[in-house]
Amino acid sequence: MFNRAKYLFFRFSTTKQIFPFVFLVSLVLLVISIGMGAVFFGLYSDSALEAEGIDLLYGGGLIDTFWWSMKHVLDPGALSENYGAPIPVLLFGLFNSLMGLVITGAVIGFIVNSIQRTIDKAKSGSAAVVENSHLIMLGWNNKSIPILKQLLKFKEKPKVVILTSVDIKLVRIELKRESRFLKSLSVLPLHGSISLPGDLYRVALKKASHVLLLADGIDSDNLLYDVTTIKTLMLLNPLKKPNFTVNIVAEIINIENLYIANAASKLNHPIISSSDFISKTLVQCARYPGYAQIYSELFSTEKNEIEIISLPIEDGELFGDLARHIENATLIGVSWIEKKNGLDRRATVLNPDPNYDLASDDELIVIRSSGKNLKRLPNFSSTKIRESVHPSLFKTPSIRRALILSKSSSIGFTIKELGQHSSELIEITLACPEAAATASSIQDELKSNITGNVSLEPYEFNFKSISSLESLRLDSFDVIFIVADESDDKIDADDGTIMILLLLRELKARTKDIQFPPVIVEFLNNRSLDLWHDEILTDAVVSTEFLSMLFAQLVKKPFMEKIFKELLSAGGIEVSLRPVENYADITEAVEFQNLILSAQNINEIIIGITQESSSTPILINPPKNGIYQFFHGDKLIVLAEQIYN
Amino acid sequence: MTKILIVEDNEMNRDMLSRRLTRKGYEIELAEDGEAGLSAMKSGNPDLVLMDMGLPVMDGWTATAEAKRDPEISNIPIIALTAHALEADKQKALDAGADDFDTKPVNLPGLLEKIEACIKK
Repeated sequence: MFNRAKYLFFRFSTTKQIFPFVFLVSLVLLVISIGMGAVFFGLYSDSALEAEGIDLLYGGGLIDTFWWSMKHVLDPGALSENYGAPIPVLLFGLFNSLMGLVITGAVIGFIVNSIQRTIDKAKSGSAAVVENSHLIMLGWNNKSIPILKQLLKFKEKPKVVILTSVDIKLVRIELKRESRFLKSLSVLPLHGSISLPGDLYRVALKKASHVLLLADGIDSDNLLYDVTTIKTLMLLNPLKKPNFTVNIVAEIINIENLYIANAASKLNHPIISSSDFISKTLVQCARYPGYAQIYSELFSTEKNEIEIISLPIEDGELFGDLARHIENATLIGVSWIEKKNGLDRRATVLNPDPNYDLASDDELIVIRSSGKNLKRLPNFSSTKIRESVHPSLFKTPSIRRALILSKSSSIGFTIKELGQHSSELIEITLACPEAAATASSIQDELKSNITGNVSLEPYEFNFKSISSLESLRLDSFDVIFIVADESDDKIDADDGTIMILLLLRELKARTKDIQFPPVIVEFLNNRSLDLWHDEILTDAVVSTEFLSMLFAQLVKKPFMEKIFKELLSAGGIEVSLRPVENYADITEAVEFQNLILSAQNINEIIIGITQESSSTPILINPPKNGIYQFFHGDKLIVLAEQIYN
Repeated sequence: MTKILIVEDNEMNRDMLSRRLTRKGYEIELAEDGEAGLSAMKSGNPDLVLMDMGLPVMDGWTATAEAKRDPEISNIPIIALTAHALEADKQKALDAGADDFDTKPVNLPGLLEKIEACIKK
């Protein structure tokens, strides 16, 4: 019996959260009961009743005794009012007063502990979220801060809740470091696992408006992160009910895992392979130097935004006509909703031909000047439209020999992308430590993906013998890529890139007579790019910035996924830079409307202008009725069908 | 209703062509690569095929040549499509057995004429 009671007490004390409160109340009742024993030791004797603190209001019964005993537990000062009472009564009073002090101490302890627990919970990031329409960032890595900065550029700044398994103190330190940039953004970092249903519930997932699922880890250069992301995507699936309208965008590090991730998410969310996107951008920068800056202008939401808008359209109205007559926006495509397998599907088409006959249910994809209203311009009568040079006759970028300086795990994607952009053989030299083994592993890894158009030649190069680069004939390459290399823990990736750039600058200075190839660089940090105002650097992609822009856009506008993919991938539509001379006579001022028409004649859409001499070197979405004086070297930024030679 | 099979790997091109041709009254079937295109030709029995040339898995030239070798589907007219085609590309497509040829982005009125001409043949 005793053992059974002992066991029950053990169970109750260890498993029930209310045990401390029950214990405290029991203790109070026990002490009061013991104190009531004073009634048998002369509590209501004549001498006792002379004392100020002993009352006989209800005839000395249970109530008077209970009151006397309880008074001593709750008020230690009550003991002094028993002066003159018999000794045993005084001893009972003393016992109750002492126990009262113990109980009061315990109650204060409970209160303090409870406050401390609440503070600790908030500090350790394990609090539960009471929020609506917030943006949840599941995972923390080197793109998180740039993404938060991008979110600041949106008109409606979201309330951001971060859930990560990374030490929450580190997250707070990083947030504090950037606090002057992020002060107008409300950010709540919480600690937990992004693949645990309980933790997802804690961040009020169902009430969120946007979810950004990032590779969870500081460096995010580990394939295991993809496994966690895929698990989370699977957890999100059961939530997809008709009333669940949260926009979800996920990041996958390795494109090889994209297929599994899509299967896990049942193809309902945009899933972005960061290595794939950076590789594609680097290759596009090699094809069109200056591209990185154009991309930043185009996809940053500060001056322009890509949107899908509905305008009153007459059936049969031509896309080209409408495109010329909308001010404050450049029409770049058409979109519509259609039924597929019983579900609504948004179709998007970029750069339709000018004779595309619009339907009344067509919506328009536009690059729109932020904060400006769209208006229809009156009909324009063209005067001096010069016949454009046919795109197939354009001198298009040609990459036959490329040098890649990196051992990064993502160079396989860059090589694959180079192969996809060419119909002829591309010779790639891979210069890095353990070059032969790296080249062989890349070849194995991408055996099924590398087309016969690519040959890979290893070249041993490391920082201990950096001068080994001198023996390469750099002028024989069409482009040099320096991809951020995180494979060596001892060297910061950007520091390594800067060292190589310094060496290349030295080599270039020594060989003034030779044609030095363009140098395309990937930096991880924007500050590294700020160090370079040197002509050795042809174009640079700050991958964290670029990806953050991509994620921030996608989480708000999921339709942008197709646009990003189309513009960056080989084949289809791309953003190209064309000499203005191909479209107009630049010896005199050119009306922009004439340029639009010239471009439309060859199925191209002008989305911007680059003028080195201008105060705005890159102008996206130029005014339709503008008149420009161009100079040799000025270019048009156009959407065009990709051409290969 | 005339049934057209569009074999095209680029989703945007596929969407645009199918949208415009549907609005012109054609019934559209879609395939994303040459191999899928061949099997759709056999199972769907289209009246005409618009075949992109740069396709994954099996390219358009091979798929066209195989279709023309297969007596079951060799009578289905094929119009080859490719981006900014040069004369050599055009000849390569015709050599593979394509009945006609057009460039991307397509000029719809021109393509419609070619479609009707091929079907009448």
